[in-house]
Amino acid sequence: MPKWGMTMATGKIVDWIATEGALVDEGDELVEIETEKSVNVLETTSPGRLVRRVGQEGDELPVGALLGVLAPPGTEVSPEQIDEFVAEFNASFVPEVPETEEVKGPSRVTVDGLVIAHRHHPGGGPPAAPPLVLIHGFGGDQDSWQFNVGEIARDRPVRTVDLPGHGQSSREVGDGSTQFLAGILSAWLDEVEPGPVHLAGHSLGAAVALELASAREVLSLTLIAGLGPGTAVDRDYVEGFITAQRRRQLKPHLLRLFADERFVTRDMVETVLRAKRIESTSEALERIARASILATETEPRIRLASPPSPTQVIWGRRDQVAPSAQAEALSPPLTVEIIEGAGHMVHVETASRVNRLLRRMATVHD
Amino acid sequence: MVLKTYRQAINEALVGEMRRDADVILMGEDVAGGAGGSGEDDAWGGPLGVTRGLLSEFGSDRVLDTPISEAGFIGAAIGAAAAGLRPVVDLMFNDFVGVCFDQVVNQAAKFRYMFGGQDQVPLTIRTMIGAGLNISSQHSQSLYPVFSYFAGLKVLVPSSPYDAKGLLTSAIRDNDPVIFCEHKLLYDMVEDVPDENYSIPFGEANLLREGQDVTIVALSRMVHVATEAAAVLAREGIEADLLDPRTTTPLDTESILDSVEATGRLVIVDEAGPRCGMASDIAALVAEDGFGHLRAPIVKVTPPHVPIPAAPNLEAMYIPDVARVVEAVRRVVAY
Amino acid sequence: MHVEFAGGGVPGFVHLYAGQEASAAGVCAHLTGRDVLLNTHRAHGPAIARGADIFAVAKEIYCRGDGLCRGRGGSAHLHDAANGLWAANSGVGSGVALGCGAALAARTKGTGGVAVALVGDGAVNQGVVSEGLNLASIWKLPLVVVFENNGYGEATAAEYAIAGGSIAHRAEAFGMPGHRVDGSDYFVVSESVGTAVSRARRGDGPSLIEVDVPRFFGHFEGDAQTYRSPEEAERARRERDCLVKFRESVISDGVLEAESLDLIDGEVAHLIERVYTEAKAAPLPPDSEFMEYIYADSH
Repeated sequence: MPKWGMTMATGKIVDWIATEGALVDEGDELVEIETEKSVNVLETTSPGRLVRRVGQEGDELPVGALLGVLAPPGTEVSPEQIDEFVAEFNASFVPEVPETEEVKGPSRVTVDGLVIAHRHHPGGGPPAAPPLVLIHGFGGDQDSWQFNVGEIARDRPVRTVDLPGHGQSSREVGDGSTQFLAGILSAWLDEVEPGPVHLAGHSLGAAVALELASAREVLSLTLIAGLGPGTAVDRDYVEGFITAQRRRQLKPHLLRLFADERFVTRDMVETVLRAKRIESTSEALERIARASILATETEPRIRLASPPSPTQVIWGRRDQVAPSAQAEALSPPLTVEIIEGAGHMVHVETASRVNRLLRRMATVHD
Repeated sequence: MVLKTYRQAINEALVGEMRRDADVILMGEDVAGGAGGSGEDDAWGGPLGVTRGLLSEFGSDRVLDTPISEAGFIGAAIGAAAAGLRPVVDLMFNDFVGVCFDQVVNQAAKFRYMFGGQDQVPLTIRTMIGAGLNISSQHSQSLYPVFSYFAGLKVLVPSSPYDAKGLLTSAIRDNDPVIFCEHKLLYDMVEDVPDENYSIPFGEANLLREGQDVTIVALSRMVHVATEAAAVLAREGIEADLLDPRTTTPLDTESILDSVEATGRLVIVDEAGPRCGMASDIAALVAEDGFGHLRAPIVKVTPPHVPIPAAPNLEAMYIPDVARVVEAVRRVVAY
Repeated sequence: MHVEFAGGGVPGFVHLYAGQEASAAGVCAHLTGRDVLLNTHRAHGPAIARGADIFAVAKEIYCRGDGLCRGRGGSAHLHDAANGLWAANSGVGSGVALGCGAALAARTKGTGGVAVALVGDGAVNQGVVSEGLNLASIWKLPLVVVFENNGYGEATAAEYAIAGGSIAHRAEAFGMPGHRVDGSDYFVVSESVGTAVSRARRGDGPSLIEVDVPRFFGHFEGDAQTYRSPEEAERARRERDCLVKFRESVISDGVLEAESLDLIDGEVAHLIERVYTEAKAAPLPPDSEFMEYIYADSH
């Protein structure tokens, strides 16, 4: 059972997609899981044969519990061996207690006069491993990484942050440029994580990450659905998102972020609405949009021809907000991964695969 | 974000707006308390402490205790609003509107219209509604349907701390007369409320819950009764859309109709009485504009047509409870 | 207006101010652009004295689209925000409370303005009047309340309705000065109002003035006035016409000459003719604007 969301303690198996005995490839859908806040699909992180489905449909199991058993491809295992494996696993399995720190709201720190909300997820890996810092996209907040944080934190600490103008951070955004935003995040990192880090940014966050990487030691860079200023973006979406003040106006825009409509839950719409209602949010988003998103710039490909750090690009093939064609056009030294069936919020919709890519990138470049 | 009570949320909205705009003043009986007495100033902060601390921060030019004379001081608040201030005036119990009804419905509501749009009345009237404290008929009514009758007024019924702060902020910034109805049993309700100022638009229902079997519309404290009922019903396999209109004028009829279009069934839970109330109003709107989608009669869950008694057992019979809501939903689902 | 109304064509109720002119004129002589005058339903004279555009006033009486209130108020609700004239609202006497508000706003914003509320004798027993007088007094608001006592609250004599026999004496109960003056004498009205307005502007608080005026016509046009003996009305016209008394007074004091006054009378007669012609020809408010002006902010 994966850890999706800070407060997640259990998940319910809704639907076994892969059949028992089937061969599954890396990234294939295994099982649909429902949590208190969402429904998502767990994918395999390695190829193999699904030799046993341990959890049954309808079972509610704690995070970390055994859902199923995969055998490496080409190997034969007996039912007795599987039984033994299951028994051993369950004997030593202790359900994770959600970190109490994460049950509360994010911490706050004042940086250059701005209040910045952030979270530190120490996770279960070596505490000295270089952390991965996750930067969300336009109009979002750090909780959009909820399907990623728990899994990545198995290897290393993870830090998330609300950009200025977003979430629970200050609505002061300076001139709205990526330089300003990166400057604030840089000062934040000086405070909380001055050493080398890995960075991953989504959409606007990718632009900020790129800017950050040119100014400090970044061991690896993952750009998700964004290439920095000059990224081709649907203006109507951006402007519509900013001006929407009511659920009915906002929901159609949020639906465009996903290939799968089911991700736009009532809770999600409400969270975005509440963030937008905070005084000065529209002005802040407007400013950022004008300076960082809608301004046309040099071709990102040119800048990315010599990236500041080893860089991978991840994109959803069905991205309606920032078309995936611009990622398809990229070439080495960038590695590009286009994920079929995913929309703009690729790190949410196909979290397992994105998690695998993030974990591997960081491990390789530690 | 921090957990705050409904009371604190209202206080925060007032503080936020009074800091932001020097034209915002507070008026009413005992809003500070202690005026002219031998003890403390700011002795009460309102009968239930909502406005405590405001006199100390803003002084007696902006926090004015009034004698018991609603016609006089509500009339004065209207005049002050038309003359350029933004008063927030306290009509302690909405049941008292009788003694200043002319001011509210004939003056505040019509000042702009009757004079051809020459003026605006940026007035907020805060008032307490609701039964449940055994204080009898003249201190327990919910009169928002009466206020909603009058074109020219805006009427708000926040059901939670988050909504209270956001709606009161909007009310004070709004340039029309707004009646802000605080349910007295909600003052200690706790919820995450942002420290920052924020506004919730009017005419925007809150969708608390999604379900395809029935639409439940509930107002003010009944939102929480309906929420509990919806949980009970979910265990029986009945899933409800739960809508809280939050404002009765303007009313978000579109969201209600959209929901009924999907579910075909409507139950309305309103503490405001069976005759000429919001439940009747919404039922009529949906019966007319949503008739084709209805698969069952619209059912209203309201108190009976009787003044509110003080005795605890009788008052409990008066106020709609979870069991009545559940029964009403089962009925429309089984139809 | 009396003639026009009798001929038909004037919508609604009309309450003529004739006979009370010295009150409005005496009050408005002391008001500036910072001040607010609160009117009653007997609104024509005060509107003119306060400087409202008489064409707009007439059009409003005829409920025309570009009347003072775009035809929404009519004769009894003459409101001119730009000129600091607030129309009456339904419940008579409500102007006292609204006036407290205007006075409070003026003081809070430091404009130096005052509010003057005109109230009829018929309203003095309305609860809101006492509430407003009390509030103005405890808060020392820059408010002057002028009771125009024309002897009748609709069809009931003031003598019958007013306990204690005097409006001015009620002021003492509220801790404010109260004076009664002869409303057919412009100069004594003006002097009394001037004192009260200065007191208010100084920050010394409210005052009450009772102005005794005659009412030459009925409570409303069409009122047969059977509650009033014809001799009484005739005597009022003979003995208490403020315009006649003013004319006699300024001529005998050598302040103005008869010729100048005649000239003014001639000009006014012409003006009135033009006003009626234009008002009667003006269009009613457009149907398309039926739902306008309800709210300042729409959602």
